[in-house]
Amino acid sequence: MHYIATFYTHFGALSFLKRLRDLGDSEAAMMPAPRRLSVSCGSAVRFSLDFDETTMPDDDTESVYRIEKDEYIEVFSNR
Amino acid sequence: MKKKNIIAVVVTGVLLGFAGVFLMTKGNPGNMGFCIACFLRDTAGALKLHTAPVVQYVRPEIIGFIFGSFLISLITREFRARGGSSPLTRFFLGFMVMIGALVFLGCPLRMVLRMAAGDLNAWIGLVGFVGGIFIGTLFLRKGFSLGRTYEKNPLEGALIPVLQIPLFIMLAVSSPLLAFSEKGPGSMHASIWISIALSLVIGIAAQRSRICQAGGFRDLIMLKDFHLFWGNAAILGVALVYNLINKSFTLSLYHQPVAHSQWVWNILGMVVVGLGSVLLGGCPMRQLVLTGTGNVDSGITVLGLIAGAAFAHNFGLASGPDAYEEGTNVVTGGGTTPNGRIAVIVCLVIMLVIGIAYTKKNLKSKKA
Repeated sequence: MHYIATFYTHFGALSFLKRLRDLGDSEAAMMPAPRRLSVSCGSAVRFSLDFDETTMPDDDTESVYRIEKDEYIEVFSNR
Repeated sequence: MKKKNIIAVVVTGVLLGFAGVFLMTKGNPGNMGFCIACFLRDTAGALKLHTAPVVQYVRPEIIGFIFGSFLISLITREFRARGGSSPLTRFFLGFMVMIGALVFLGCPLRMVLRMAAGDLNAWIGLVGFVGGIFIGTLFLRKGFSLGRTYEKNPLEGALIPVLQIPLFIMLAVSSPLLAFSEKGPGSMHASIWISIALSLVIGIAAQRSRICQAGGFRDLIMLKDFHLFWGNAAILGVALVYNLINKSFTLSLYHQPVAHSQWVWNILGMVVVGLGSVLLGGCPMRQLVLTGTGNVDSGITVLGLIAGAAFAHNFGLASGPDAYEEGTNVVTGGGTTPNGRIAVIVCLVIMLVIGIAYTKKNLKSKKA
């Protein structure tokens, strides 16, 4: 399962990535936020660890999506 | 999906490159078919925020750009009023980005259009722009953040986009409330209908593609991702070919339209623009597009850009084009001003202070 998280700030993305790495997701990586998900030109994080709302996102996390084929399914929103 | 994103960015770049030369052939100033900084400066002059008589004209390109982004974001339901991310700091960053741009004589868009017309001073400016972006990425890597945005009343997000309507009407009827340059770059313009139509289309394309000139280099440096960068390449490629066909390409440091050849200040001016754009999260063009989508912080930044333009002309910070001894490349006047040179250094120092002040030393390893 792959996920993608979008953020309000670049700092939020970096912090999220660090948390993912600390949790053992060595494949987690920064990428430009997909056009469909964000109107900012900010960064996103793609990861494969099962999403856990209690340990992963913080106030700077905007949304988290599960990637299924070419679709993004929202699993978390902080709007 | 990624391929579609790249196509959207390239199409927007093609439109910008085309408009940049086409609008020049229709009356806009030399190598200034489209320039966000210059056109905001001209609009500031038309609103009498500064009194430089040669740069006063409400540029319909700015109106179309913001309004096109506004319309398409309403249609696609992406319009969302949001703000509250260090607005005053953003205002001053926008203010300083404009000062850097007016010392160089152009925003990143005009820099690329000048490069495509053979202006070697703009290629020198590119070094500064990329250098500034690189410094900005160092701050981002260390945890720089102006803070998150929050939902706002939709009216707040729509204020600046909707204000473009009365501004356009005033322009269309040549309202005596506005100032209109009778000579100089401000007096040179394409038909308002051509300009508004083209800029509306480009505003729509820019909103859909998320094109960002600073973002292109930032993502290349930080993420090794090219997709926004292709926008810059498309602007350059299309404008270059169009200039060659139009016979408006002259490879030289000298006698370039609305340009000066003081390379140190061309570089440093664009360092300010590049660094400021990364700290703001987008170049001046991107700030206009985000304003159209309801981003109040970008609206504040645009107001900062306008205030910076007015200040730059009221206090003699803006550069002027080189003046030459007749028939030679000997520069006899124009270029940067002492006030402009001091302002660029001060802006750089303030931006570094902002960069340090908003950098959180430790990335949050635990959920806050």
